[in-house]
Amino acid sequence: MLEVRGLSKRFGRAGILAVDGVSFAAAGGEVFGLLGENGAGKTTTLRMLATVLQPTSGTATVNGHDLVTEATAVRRQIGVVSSEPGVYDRLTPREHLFYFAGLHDLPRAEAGRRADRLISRLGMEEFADRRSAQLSRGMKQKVALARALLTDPPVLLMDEPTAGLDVTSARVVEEFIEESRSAGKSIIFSSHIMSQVEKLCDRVAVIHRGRIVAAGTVTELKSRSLQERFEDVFVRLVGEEA
Amino acid sequence: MKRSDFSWRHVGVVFRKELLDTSRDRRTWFGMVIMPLLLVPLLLLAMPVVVEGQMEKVRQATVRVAVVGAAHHPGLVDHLKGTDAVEVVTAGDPEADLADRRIQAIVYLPEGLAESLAAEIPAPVRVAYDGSDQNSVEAQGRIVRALSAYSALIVAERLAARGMDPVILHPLGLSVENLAPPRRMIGFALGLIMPMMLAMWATLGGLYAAIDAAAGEKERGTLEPLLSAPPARIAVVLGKYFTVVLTSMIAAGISMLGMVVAFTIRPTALLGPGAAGTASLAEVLPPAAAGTIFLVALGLAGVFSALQLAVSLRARSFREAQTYLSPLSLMIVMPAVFTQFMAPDQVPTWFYYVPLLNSLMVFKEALMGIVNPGHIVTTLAVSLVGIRLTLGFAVASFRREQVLFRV
Ligand SMILES: Nc1ncnc2c1ncn2[C@@H]1O[C@H](COP(=O)(O)OP(=O)(O)OP(=O)(O)O)[C@@H](O)[C@H]1O
Ligand SMILES: [Mg+2]
Repeated sequence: MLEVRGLSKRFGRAGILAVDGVSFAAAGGEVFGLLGENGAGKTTTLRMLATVLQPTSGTATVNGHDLVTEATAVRRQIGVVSSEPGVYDRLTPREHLFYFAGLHDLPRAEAGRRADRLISRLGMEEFADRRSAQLSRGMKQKVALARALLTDPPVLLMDEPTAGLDVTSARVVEEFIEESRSAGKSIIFSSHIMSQVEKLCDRVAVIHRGRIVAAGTVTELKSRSLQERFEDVFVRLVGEEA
Repeated sequence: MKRSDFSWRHVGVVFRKELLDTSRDRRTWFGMVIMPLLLVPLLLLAMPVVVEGQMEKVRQATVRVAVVGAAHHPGLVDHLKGTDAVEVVTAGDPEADLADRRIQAIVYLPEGLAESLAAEIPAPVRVAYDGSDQNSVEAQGRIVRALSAYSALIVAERLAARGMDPVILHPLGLSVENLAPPRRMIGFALGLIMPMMLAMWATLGGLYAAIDAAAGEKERGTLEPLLSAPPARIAVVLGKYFTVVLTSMIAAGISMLGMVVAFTIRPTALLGPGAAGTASLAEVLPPAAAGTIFLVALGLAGVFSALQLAVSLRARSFREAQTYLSPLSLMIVMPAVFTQFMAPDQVPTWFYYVPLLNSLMVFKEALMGIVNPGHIVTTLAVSLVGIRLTLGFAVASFRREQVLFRV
């Protein structure tokens, strides 16, 4: 469903390699975790996959479309959620959803049906027609989740989607990820929280200074070392690199 | 990015959303509707009244004059005392009093003035005033007129003594007449104020919409989901661009509405001194003039909207964009003030090749009833080139990731 091959990103001509030859793959119905510290290159990787940043080298195939040569087609295969909900303050959640439906060429009637369904599924009825400026962060993140699912894309790119959320709101996001996995989507999920990755992800890549230093299932990564806790595995991997 | 990714439907989607979004922003309404709707009638109606009132107050005020050497010609001093709104006072230190504005003028009478006049020998009389004080300038004029009248009296006496009629001093029965029809007087008055107003609103009316649609979107983190949606970047830019252009044009249109309202309320306010009668709105603003103003304003809005979007996108935040763009208002007001009193048919030809300057001049022509197709075409052509350049700059900015994701 998603295959990343040697993806690199250098900012500026002489700048650092923020992402350095990253390769991984995620099948349908799989949650793939990108685990890394601040500045590791998670956001940069996901932004390249979302086509908002151009890779310096390497590419990816997203549901059969090449990231570099078919950027528009790729955009029709993805839903994007980050730690920043990115909703318009002066629009209501429903208007926001209609806007993105229009950007994705969804017919209006169909957009209305899908918006209704997502609004009820995410429990947004109460605030769906209120200006977003008045909404809490958790409510706004629900709008972002609904936006990502509006076109029912096969691939979801989620960059620290629970950052800044309380336990209840984070729980909503986690349930959303689990449901999307059941629906057969490929989900790339970045985080620096080990427990979350351990809980949600089928497979994990540990990214450090732009490079993948280890990859596999959580159990594999744990068994590779003798240490019990995943967190310790991470610290050791990152420490080796440094 | 492939050309085929572009779709006008996407432009429409972005345009409608931006319009809805910006129409819910109080700042847009303030800049787009309230300001032009209030400012234009205020300038056209209240300003002349206030200025006229101020001048009237100066004219009515009694001025205080000190006469140095009053004893040298008491008769002349009596004449001054008898002049309307002139009060002759005694002063210990007249120059200090003038500087402190306790008096408004000083008249110096030379020694032996009465004797000189009796002997028909010309004598120097000096009037001192403070050129930095409006009331003192007025006093100077009043006293010079009073002294001239006194001079004429003496001349009349001398002529009478020689058996001549003072009428021989006025061989020409002078009268002046303003032949400019009311329509031209009104056009002239509008030409002083409206070009600046039109240029301001056609360029700055969409300022908030532009800041919000680029820097605002960046600041609130909405740009990233937008750019990972299918529309080509050029469609996103055009949707935003048309919103800013429309907002600017509404502002310019409302300033024109303000002009029509002012004109309808008090057409005579725009006539100026020495003119009588009135003109109809159809005479002042015939369809051809309105059409010219519309097209030239559209050209201005087209250039500046793209410029504002591009600059705004280069800013990290709403406030930063505001800082970058606030000098723009000066950039527009300065040439407007500079050309305020220039006659559009007498400026050098190159004026019509300079963006903004040409628009200001064609606005003025249209309001004064001058139709110069060459000027109009040149101005529109220059604007088209400007739109091509600034819009290209805006699209390029939306494609540069250093601009979109500055850290
Ligand atoms: N637009 C940019 N211009 C220059 N350098 C950048 C830019 N964006 C990111 N970087 C750099 O690239 C590296 C990777 O950053 P990135 O944001 O991808 O990390 P991250 O893993 O998402 O970190 P965090 O957990 O803090 O979100 C960092 O060193 C960062 O400073
Ligand atoms: Mg990040």
